[in-house]
Amino acid sequence: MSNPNLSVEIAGIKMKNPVMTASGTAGFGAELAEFFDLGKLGAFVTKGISLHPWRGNEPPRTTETPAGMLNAIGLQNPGVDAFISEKLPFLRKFDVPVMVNVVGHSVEEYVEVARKLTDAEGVHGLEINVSCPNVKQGCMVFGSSAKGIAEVVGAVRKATSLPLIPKLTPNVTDITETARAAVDAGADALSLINTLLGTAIDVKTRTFKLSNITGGLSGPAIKPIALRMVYQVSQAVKVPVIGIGGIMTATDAIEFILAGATAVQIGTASFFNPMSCVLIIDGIAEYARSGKVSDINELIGKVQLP
Amino acid sequence: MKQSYCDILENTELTPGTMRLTARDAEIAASSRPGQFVNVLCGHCLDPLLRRPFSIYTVNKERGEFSLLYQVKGRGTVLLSEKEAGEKLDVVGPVGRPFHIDPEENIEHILVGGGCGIVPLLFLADVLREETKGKTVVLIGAQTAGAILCEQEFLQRDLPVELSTDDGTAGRHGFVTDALSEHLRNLPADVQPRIYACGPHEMLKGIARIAANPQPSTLNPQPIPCQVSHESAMACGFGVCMGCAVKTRELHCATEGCEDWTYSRVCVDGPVFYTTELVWE
Repeated sequence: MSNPNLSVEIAGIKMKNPVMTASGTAGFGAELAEFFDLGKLGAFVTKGISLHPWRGNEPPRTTETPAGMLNAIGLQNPGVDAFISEKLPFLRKFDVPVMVNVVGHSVEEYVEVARKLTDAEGVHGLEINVSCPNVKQGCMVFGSSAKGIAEVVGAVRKATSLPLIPKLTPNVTDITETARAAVDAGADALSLINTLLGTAIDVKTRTFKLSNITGGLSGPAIKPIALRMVYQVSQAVKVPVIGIGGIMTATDAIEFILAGATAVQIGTASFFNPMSCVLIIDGIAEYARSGKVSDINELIGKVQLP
Repeated sequence: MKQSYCDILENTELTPGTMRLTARDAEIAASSRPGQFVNVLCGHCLDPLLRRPFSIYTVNKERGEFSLLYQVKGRGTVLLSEKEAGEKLDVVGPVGRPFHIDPEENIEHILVGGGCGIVPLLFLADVLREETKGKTVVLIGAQTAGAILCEQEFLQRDLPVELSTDDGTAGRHGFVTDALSEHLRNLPADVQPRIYACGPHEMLKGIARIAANPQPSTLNPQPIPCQVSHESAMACGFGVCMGCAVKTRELHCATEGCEDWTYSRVCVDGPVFYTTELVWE
């Protein structure tokens, strides 16, 4: 069988395959580019970018947990101006769509960052981060309610013509509510899930393992929850869904696609192996070839009910 | 920096709880510099999930080999200790900023290692011998005689070694920082010292203080260039996650309005820093 078609399209962004980096696990590309050509990716998603530079939280910022890890980085980033002048030119060198993850303490900050990125060359879409659990102001505070997410997405929608992809938090009672609110406010696609709020305690020192006390849980430990939420949301909305959460292998990625995801993001797996994205792309192609799937789009949402 | 599957040549217990692992990878052996580390996948499934960083202990470029010296302490190192010659080792490396080496004459390179912090300094000693004309001395500190690592390896290289133990069971009774102060006091005036240190945070802090302001009686009262290899738990270990943050001055502080410190990454901005670059708390 000839090579299967792996290309997918999200909000008008054409991707050569459904595999993207997950925000916060790939920096701004320079480090991963030492391991493989970023042009192999379906899309590159940057670390979260704020209006001004953010220092991030005090260490310790990460701790390992069973089949996963907690992080409370606190969105350390150089700010949108330094991103555009110092980081974006590097990413433009590669044949890959760039989506910038946008963070803010206030609606105004999201809007201002989105404006600046709209004017910058080489930004293909904005992932609106309303789900980071590790900053005290903004982010997950907005994403935790339908009203909050609608406020941010609606305001950013007015400020940019770029595709908007809100990234949803799983730390809500019903994720389909925030998903619908984001779409009603103008989202072109949705990405989910961000990390689950958790903590860890050191019994020797009787202290929390993270200076922030709580952090976001990621890795294979959260995959079943992420998969369930991707299935629920893709049933509830008509826009494309990007599946994220504990994807370690091509098999995991295919599960998300069958559940309804048009694309997937690879995060913690890149820590396990920096080559994970490439291995997963190759694995998806192999799955399609051996299963006589001529086009990956045929699999989206095609899980069969029992 | 690359990801590779190296051949394990040996994984031997040297003393109870201390193991040496030697692996073959010509590219890693050829490109490694002292102070750099490799990030090793110790397990064989998804738990424990994260790699473990290990300083490079020795390198044999001709044979394309490198070795690690590690203590079996937690889940990762227990799994690593079970690997055998003939198996593959999944390694990312070499990672990080190495020790800067000054090839000038009239320099005395003072290597100060506390506990297992001595490990990266053996590779450093080998490279100093190859690339510089200066003299090298080694100060080793440990809690007790049984915890001293690498003494024989340095002696086999004909390097002077001074031991300090917290409990006085070997060498000098006291901290290695006291040994350093005394050594600096006795240094001839025409010798330029350079300090390279690795060990517990409190020890490095003490060494930074000494390097910044050697005692007035010393013949070299000006600050001494001092590099330390910083230890940290890591998540990604190649610069993307910002997990292994350490407070530094000026580094990456080019943007206007940037205050006097920022969080840098131990993994790729370090692990080696000049003591003047770090904020000591």
